[in-house]
Amino acid sequence: MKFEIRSIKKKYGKKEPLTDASLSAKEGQCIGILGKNGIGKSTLLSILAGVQVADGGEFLYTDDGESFFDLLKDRKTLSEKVGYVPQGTPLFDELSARDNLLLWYDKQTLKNELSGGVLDMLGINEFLTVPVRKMSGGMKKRLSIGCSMAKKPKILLLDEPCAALDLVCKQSIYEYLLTFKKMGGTIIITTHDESDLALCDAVYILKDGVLTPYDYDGNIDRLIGML
Amino acid sequence: MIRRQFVYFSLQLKRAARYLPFIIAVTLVLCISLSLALSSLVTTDQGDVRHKKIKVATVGEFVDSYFDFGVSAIQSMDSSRFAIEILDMTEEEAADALKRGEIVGYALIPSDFIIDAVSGDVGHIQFVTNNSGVDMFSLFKKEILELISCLLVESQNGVYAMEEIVFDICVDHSDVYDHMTVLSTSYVSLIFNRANALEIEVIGVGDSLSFAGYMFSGLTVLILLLCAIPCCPIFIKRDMAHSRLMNANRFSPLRQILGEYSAFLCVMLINTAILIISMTLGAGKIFNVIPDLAELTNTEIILLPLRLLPATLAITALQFLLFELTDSLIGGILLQFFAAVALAYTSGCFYPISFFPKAIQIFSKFTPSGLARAYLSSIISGADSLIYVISLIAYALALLFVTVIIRARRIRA
Amino acid sequence: MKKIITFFSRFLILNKRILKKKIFLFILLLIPLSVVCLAIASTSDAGIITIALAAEDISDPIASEIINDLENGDSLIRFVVTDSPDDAVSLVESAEADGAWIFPENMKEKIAEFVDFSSERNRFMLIVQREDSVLLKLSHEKLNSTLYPYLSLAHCEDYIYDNLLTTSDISSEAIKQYYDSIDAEGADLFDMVYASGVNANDSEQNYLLSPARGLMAILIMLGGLAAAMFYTSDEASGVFDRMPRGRRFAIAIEYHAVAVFDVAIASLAAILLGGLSVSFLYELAAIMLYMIAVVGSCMLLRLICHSNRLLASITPALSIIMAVLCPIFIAPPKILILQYLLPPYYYLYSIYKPEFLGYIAIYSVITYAASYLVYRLRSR
Repeated sequence: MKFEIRSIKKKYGKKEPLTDASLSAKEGQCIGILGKNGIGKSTLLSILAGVQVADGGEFLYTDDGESFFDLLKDRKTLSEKVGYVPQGTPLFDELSARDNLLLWYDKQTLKNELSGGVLDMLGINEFLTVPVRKMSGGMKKRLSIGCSMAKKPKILLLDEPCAALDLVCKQSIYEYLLTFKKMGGTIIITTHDESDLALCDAVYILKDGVLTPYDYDGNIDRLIGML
Repeated sequence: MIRRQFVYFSLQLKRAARYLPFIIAVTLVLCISLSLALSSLVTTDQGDVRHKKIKVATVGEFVDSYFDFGVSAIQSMDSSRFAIEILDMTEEEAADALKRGEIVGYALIPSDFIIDAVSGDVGHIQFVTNNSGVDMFSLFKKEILELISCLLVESQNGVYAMEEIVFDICVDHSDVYDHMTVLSTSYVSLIFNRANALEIEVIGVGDSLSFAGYMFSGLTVLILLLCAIPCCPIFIKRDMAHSRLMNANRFSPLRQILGEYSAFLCVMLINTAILIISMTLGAGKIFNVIPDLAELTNTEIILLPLRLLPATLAITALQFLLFELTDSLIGGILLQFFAAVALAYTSGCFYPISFFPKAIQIFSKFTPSGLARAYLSSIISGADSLIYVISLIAYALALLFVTVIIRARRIRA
Repeated sequence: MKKIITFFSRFLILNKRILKKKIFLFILLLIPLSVVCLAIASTSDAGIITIALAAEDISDPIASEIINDLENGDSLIRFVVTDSPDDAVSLVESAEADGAWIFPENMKEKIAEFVDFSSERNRFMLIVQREDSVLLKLSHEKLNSTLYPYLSLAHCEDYIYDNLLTTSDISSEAIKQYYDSIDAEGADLFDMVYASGVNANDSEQNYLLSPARGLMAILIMLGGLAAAMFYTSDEASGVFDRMPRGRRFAIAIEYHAVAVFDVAIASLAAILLGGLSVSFLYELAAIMLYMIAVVGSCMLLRLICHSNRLLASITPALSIIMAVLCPIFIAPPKILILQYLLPPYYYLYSIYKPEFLGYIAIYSVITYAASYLVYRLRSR
């Protein structure tokens, strides 16, 4: 599996956060996207997830490496291939984790995933009956990831997945993402966190609407200078 | 797809069900309040208080005057089952009594009023009152005071006209004052008997609804309109992230609205059933204050919420549209209340629609609340209601359609 | 001084936040607009009941004069003139009219027969009505006041001819001239004045508008309840965590005051524009005191209920209870123990009974004290 994002454009009135955003990736890769606050990282991810509509560009995908098709034009396949974990945690506060998962999983699949599947890996069994309003930030984020994995997507988009999480929580999420990579999944994350960068096989900087690859060598000061 | 739709509906129902015990408790409180309101209205109208008196006070000295005859006559005014009782008081006593609500007003009669009246100069009497503006006397006081004026002034006109004629035309004036006394007395008799001029024929309401039945239908619609307010925290979407995510996963705005609306409708149906059945049994069978309801059988009463389904659909669709128009709890609650009151008022739920100008009467025929009220009235009176059913269902569909469009726009925004 | 400035600047910021919600702004504009529309609508043809008028003989001068006076007069009753008694009765049967007044032919003779002591009282006016309701009974007094001048004149004439003079001594027209000359200024004996000193004839308010003030009072109360829910939500999401505990009571007051203030100002505008006002300064004082009372009572409710679910659930019940127990639509039944708990009760009576302004102040003191007590207990 591989995919290519070509010349994604997005304009809001006079603001144009994305003018020519392009990148490519293959299975088992983790791509990190960095940039200043408000630069358009979340907008890019939401376009790739199908939540927003791009003003131009393509999201080309192939399973066999030969025939590409544009996921932005095929929402059905897009929803099957791409899982999206937005920055907030859009969950029903009044309902439990199980109820929120039932919106995305059928009962049998839910049962299977909770016993040895992805939901088990995320540790959701520990708080399955807890109402969302009583959950910690880490629990909500893990639940949100669990909801996005319902269709076993090949591509996982995560918008600042570890923001405001404790180290233990971060570690458990990293472990899951590594497992996802090993299983052939591709991850795109937006982040401001240095520890998230350790996960990434490639880093891009979003600046002036354009994605530029960056060779991250651990030098934060140099990185800051590029942003 | 269907499975997912059902799951979404059941999750929304689960969310809403957490509020259901509160909503039901509130509905029962509303039933009691409604009973209070209805019985207040109905007993006032039906005159259970047979000798209800409007008490007025007179302040001032008048002895041995023709005015006194008029006052005595008014003292026995009873043609409308509202007798006016006149009490003599000092100004201070009258002002205190007015403040305490013991009298509805007092007349300040100037000391020279009678002297002026005798000489033909009928002056004015100041009538001091409060204005609560809400009871029968307050609404009709102008008419009642006009009547009192008319009775007194016209009677005096007759007496003093006779006096002048005697002085101008008769040779012998010696017994003119005797004649004036006799004529005044006979005027009193005329005032007593004025109601005998009217032949009253009550033809009954026939297929139409009685006043009590009408007000029952109006107040029921009002409560239905208000019952959406407890659901505001559940159904007002302050953040569209979840909706956008679902939309991205091919759970369209239409399906989202269907799921959420169905859950809301279920809650409202349960609420309506409790409201309608308890109110109908209470007002119709137990307390028997609404004769139209007393004629319904128990089976008809139990089926009433089902028959009311088109009205419930239209009203809940409207309420759901209002949920969708706002993302703020304060705005949402105020909008629901404002819309409920404004629509209820102009649909004849507070006052009978006949009270309003023609323009508002026509407007009410096109509002969901006006249609709902008319539909419930037609069910109770047994009149034909098919046109209302069609209109209400059409309204519900149209409102839901608009709601879907608004949701889609909010998702795209 | 610094605290006052801080209070007002925070008030303005909270107000800015709430006014950014378009729907809230829309409602604030809609309040005075709807009252004005209702005021305009109330000037058109409307009536508490509808009476169909018909004469058996349309050319009868007395009948046509009375019908004309009724149709063109100013009354709570809407009169509809029909072509015939059958048409009038049809309107009643179809519920388009509540009653019908049928004037007989030869009104003058019928009236003369009626007032003649030597004969039985002959009922000459036919009234057909759907129900025997209070409103229709009160409407009979309207008819009586219209007929009575003719009865009175006929009675005077009858007495004169029976006891004093003959038709050759004085004609019926001459008697009428004497009769009419006695009260050339009209028959209004009473000048109605309100206890507050306002001339009632000047500030007479249409019945359609009479519940408007009460409904706005409930709306102001609902603004306070909605603000209470807003506060509870913000409290749950940790907005006040950075604020010292000691200041949270004052902040809560500001939260409630913002929404209540905005709705109160819109309501005041509606009262002034709709012609409901007794006097500007008095209205301003009354509504400001009411505002303070509403904030206190909503704060107390919030502290007692302590959850949005409960607050939202009690809102419709509270609205109906206020509508029933306060003088808005009906003269309220006396359930003082409940009425004393409701801020609109004091406000609505205060408009015509100034002493109620004092009661609002006492009520406010009690609710704020109780709120503070509950707040301190909960803080522990």
